[in-house]
Amino acid sequence: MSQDSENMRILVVEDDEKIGSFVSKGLKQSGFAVDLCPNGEKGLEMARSTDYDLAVVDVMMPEMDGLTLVQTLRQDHRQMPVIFLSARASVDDRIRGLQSGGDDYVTKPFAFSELLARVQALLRRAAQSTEPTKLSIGDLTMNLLTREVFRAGVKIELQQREFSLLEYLLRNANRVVTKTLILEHVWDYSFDPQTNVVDVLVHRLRSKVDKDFEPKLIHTMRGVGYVLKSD
Amino acid sequence: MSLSPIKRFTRSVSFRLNLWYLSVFSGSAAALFFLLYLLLSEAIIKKDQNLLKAQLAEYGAVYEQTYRSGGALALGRWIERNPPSRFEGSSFVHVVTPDRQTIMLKAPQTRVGSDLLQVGPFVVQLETGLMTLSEESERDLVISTMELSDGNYLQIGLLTDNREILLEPFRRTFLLCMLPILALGFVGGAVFAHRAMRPVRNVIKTADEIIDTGKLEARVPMRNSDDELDDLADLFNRMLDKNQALITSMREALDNVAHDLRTPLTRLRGTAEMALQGGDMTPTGQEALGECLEETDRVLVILKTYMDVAEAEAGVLRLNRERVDVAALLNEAVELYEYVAEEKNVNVSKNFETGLVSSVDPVRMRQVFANLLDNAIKYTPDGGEVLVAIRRRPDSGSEIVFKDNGPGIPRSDLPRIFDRLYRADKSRSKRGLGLGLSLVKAIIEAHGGTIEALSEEGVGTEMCVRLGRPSR
Repeated sequence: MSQDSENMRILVVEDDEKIGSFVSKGLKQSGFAVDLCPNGEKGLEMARSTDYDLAVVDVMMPEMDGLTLVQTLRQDHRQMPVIFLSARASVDDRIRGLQSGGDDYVTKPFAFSELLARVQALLRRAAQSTEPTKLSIGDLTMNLLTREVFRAGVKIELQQREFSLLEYLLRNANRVVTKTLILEHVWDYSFDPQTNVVDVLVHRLRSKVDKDFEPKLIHTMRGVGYVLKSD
Repeated sequence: MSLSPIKRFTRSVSFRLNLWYLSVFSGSAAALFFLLYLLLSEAIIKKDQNLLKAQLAEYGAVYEQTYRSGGALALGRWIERNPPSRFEGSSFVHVVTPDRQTIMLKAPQTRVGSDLLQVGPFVVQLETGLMTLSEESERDLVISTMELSDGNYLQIGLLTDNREILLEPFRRTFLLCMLPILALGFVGGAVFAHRAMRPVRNVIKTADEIIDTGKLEARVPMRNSDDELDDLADLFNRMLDKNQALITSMREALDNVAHDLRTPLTRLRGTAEMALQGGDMTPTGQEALGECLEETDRVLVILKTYMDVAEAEAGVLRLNRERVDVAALLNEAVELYEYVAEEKNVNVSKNFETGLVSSVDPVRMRQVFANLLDNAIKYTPDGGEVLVAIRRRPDSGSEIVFKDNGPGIPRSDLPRIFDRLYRADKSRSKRGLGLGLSLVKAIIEAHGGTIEALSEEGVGTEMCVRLGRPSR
């Protein structure tokens, strides 16, 4: 977990004290250096004086709102990735956020794991890390070129979406992955249709990858999502 | 408004205006021609009559002069020497007693048949001497009569087929002119109607745009001509201003409610999640926190759905409409539920008519299709069948059908399944709140579509979504 958060500095601009505190606390626990600002003006000041790798910005703040803050930063040629946090959930608001220079848009309330996953995805994209050809955890290996999966030397046949899910879990090994993120990556669905499709897919994957093997790799984090880990 | 374009055109005001214009225009042209025709033919008749009168006066004078030396006989001889200028065909000179006895008749004669003689306009039966007017002469015969001093009458008649010769080209010209006049009237009418209806069309276009795109900023362009139609546009715009203000404030109110609820939910969720991942938790504590998170999510879902239904029903739901292939959208939903159906051993079959396009918000419509398919699969027993079909409607709209062979919905419940918070089977407490179908209905109706549920207990349920064809 620490390899991609090493020496990374993140700016959090959020006027709600409680939300700001758990976001910054969570990011610190994941190994990032975090500065928390309670309003837009302070955030702009900090962003101008310090070089950040990423910013998490609340949209609705008194005085200077998040959209204005990011627009100003972009005019100053500050190119760090920005994730908006917003209580406005409509597509229009999302589009407005992305148009004013945001790279991602997370609607409140959100699972912290999801925010973390998005932070890491943006940082990876910014770092342009090389694409691996093989993913593995414990005795499970996935060859991305031949699209073969082995568990303890036994070949496992997976259908396309099962494969996508396992690949996504492997890429985020040891991190909690939310249902929303799974829907987005496996089906390209950008909203939660309020169904059990994700549970069904995870159940199928489990019966192929975990049922006849020990230790179990896919774990359910109740209320949060799923995590792939070997301990 | 599902009329064919032609029918819609013929029912339009501009078409009716055009017809009015055309009939007034061509009617006045025809009336003008008719008047001219009357005047002309009157003038010709008058000319003929004057001619006859002069002749009559001449012959009358001759008759009176020669009265003592033979009267009618002398006149007859005089006529043979000095025939009228156009003494041919049905022309005649006639002297008749007050009791209609012919004294003298001078007219060109022709034999028609074995016992008939044509004398001027008269047909004489040779055997009986009976004299009748021939039919063809009745039309154009001009007759002038004068009373003679001995009480007899002198008549001169003239068949004026020259009138025919003169008026026939006139009539032909009239018919020839009427065609271009009609065409001109139609084109003129179309231009006139088009121009007259332009402000009204602008109003319609603006209203259409607002309904189609939900963009409340659209206004009718003003022409500053200060006429009634400009007043109409101005009033319409002012009404739009009011509507926009109302809708904007309503949206803001809804947004604020959402914001005020979302912020504490975020705090609640974040705090629980942080505690859960902290790791220093007893299993009971973890269980409790997990449940807290799940309930938070449920509250959020309810909040979202309520807001959506409220917005859709208030007519302020924002729709990002684009032209979408209905089959592609529905395929996504079927793919999403592929495994769910497989796990339940439910066979989902498709019967798609391809090439149907609709102007919808794809995100919202995906939500609708996913919800309906979810219901169909959920309420179909193990080994059951779900059919998803797309059909073309007569007006080129599309009809999307989700049909299952589940237990069906009791007749008494059917009218209420789209009501908020209503659930047919009270025991189905697993997921959702029964808000799903009311949201589905609200979204479809916000798109201008309809949804209908048909169900028979023990046979199955059919959900039928009807969407309009894209307007342009």
